[in-house]
Amino acid sequence: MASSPLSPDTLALYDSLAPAEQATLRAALAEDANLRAAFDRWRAVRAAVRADLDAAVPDRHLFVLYALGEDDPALLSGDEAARVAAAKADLDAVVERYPGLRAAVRRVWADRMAFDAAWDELAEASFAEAAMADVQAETPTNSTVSTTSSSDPAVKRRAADRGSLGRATTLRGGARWVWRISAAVAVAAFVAVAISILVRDSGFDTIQTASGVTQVIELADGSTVELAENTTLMVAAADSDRSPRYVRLRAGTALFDVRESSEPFIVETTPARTTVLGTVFTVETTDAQTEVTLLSGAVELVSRVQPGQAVTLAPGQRSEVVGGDAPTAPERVDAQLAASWARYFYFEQTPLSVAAAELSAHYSVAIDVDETLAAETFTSAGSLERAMPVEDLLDLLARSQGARVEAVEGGYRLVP
Amino acid sequence: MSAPRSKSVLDAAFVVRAQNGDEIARSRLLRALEPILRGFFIKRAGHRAEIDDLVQNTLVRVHTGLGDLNDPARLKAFAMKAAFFELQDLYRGRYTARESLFDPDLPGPASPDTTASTGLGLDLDRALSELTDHAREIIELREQGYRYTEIAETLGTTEAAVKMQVKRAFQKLRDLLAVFAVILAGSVTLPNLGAALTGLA
Repeated sequence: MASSPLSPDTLALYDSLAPAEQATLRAALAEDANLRAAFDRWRAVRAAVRADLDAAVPDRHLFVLYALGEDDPALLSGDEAARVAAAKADLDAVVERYPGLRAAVRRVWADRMAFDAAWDELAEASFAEAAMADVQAETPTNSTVSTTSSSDPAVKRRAADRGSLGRATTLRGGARWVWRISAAVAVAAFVAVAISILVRDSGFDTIQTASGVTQVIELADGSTVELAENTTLMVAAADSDRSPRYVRLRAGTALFDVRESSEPFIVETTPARTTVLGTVFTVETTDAQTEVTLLSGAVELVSRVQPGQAVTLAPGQRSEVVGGDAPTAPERVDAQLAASWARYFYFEQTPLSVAAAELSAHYSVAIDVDETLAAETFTSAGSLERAMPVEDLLDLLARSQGARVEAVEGGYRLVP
Repeated sequence: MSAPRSKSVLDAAFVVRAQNGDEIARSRLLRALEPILRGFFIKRAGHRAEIDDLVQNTLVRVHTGLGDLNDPARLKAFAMKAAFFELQDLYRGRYTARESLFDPDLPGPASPDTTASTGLGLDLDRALSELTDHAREIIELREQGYRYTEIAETLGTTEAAVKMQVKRAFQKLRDLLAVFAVILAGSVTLPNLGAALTGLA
């Protein structure tokens, strides 16, 4: 027998032990034949799983290319795309068979987002620094970056080629976004600075909000997106071929107010895809988990790994995709609460009595509705700002209904 | 100073010059990539010792493969794939190092002899089919070389929850495989196997 009892956990997790625990386990295995037999069987199971996976995916670099191609075929070169195409049927089959490979595909997608983020954050400064080193080395008379780069005929030609192909420089795309975002900032005085406008990538512009900052973006189709703090969204660059109705939410939380159209509006995250026609909803995401809450309209949510199992949400419902699982069944939630970080209240065909209750909770003040008005419904998209004083907001609301506001003891009352 | 140049022009410019034999440009290109790669690997790999190797190996991969990059404007995707290939090589190397710690008595981890020597044979498939998809997902990720923290991150759960699943899988399989081993040793006859398995379920 072993000199000291060994926890079954130690055997189970033999592959993540601290050195001292490893030594203890080795000593116990040397003394106890039964323990050694159980250990060997467990390791054999693990080795068999590994052998199966190695046989299923003999070329892990090709597997990476396959996963990237599933995310965005434009990431592959022609040669890579051909290799993936030749292996795709086999890889589709093994990914279907092994849940761990499906998860590995998702991890590659998340890696891609992380790489994008690192590139967006660091590349411009890093290459500018390299160009500056050129300047200092080649033109001690304090020349400029552009002078140095254009001194190389090959570079000059390449830059000209890119321009003629319609690939606008980041500067142009960035400037356009600055203008748009500046306009939004002027509307919302409480939004200060700290918006990072990032660079173009494969036809996308990336927009990132800093801590404590929310931002409203208007898309080319008239839809709007409000970003919560610490959120990163990729939208089609204005001159790209991509549709404005396809966006990627990398991280954070966003509220989408989608203009109705026959073309679906798609929000893609690492684990999930949300498809809508015209609606208001929030999406909160990490690499592993996406939560969608619907305020109005209808949306369809699918796992990107198991797209066959869609969930359709009704207003006031939420669902989430965790890892590679199918979306959870819709559950009723306080949708206003889910959007409580957003700038506006969103009501659509909402009875005044229900809206009053929401507003009452937000402002912590009693708001009563005359019974002749209680069943009246109204839609408020974008007009009722949470930061407004309660009197102003109620005044707007009442006017839209041909009613008025009375101050009563402890609160307010909407009357005809 | 002139207006700052777009990075997408700058990085492509360095690629073209490096491809044309400008060794200084090649060196500056790699130096410019270094902090980007480091920033990425810090987020995705985490361990300092691993990160240094990953960055260096990726730079070597970019250096040696630069001639194959037909479109200089695609440096980003090129560098990204080089980084991802290095990550996969790291994952693969992790389990080799891990298993060697306990290997004095066993053949190599993926050797067919392993199953034979432990008397498992074909019963392994049956045993594995007893696990939930979630448990298989975790064990399969682990056997691809991911750390438990990375698995938790990928699955949107905690490291403790992931390890709990592994412990449960171990318990379940230990009992099942022990029965198989006894059967093979002749202590339990095959007709009793169903009853034995039912009792363990």
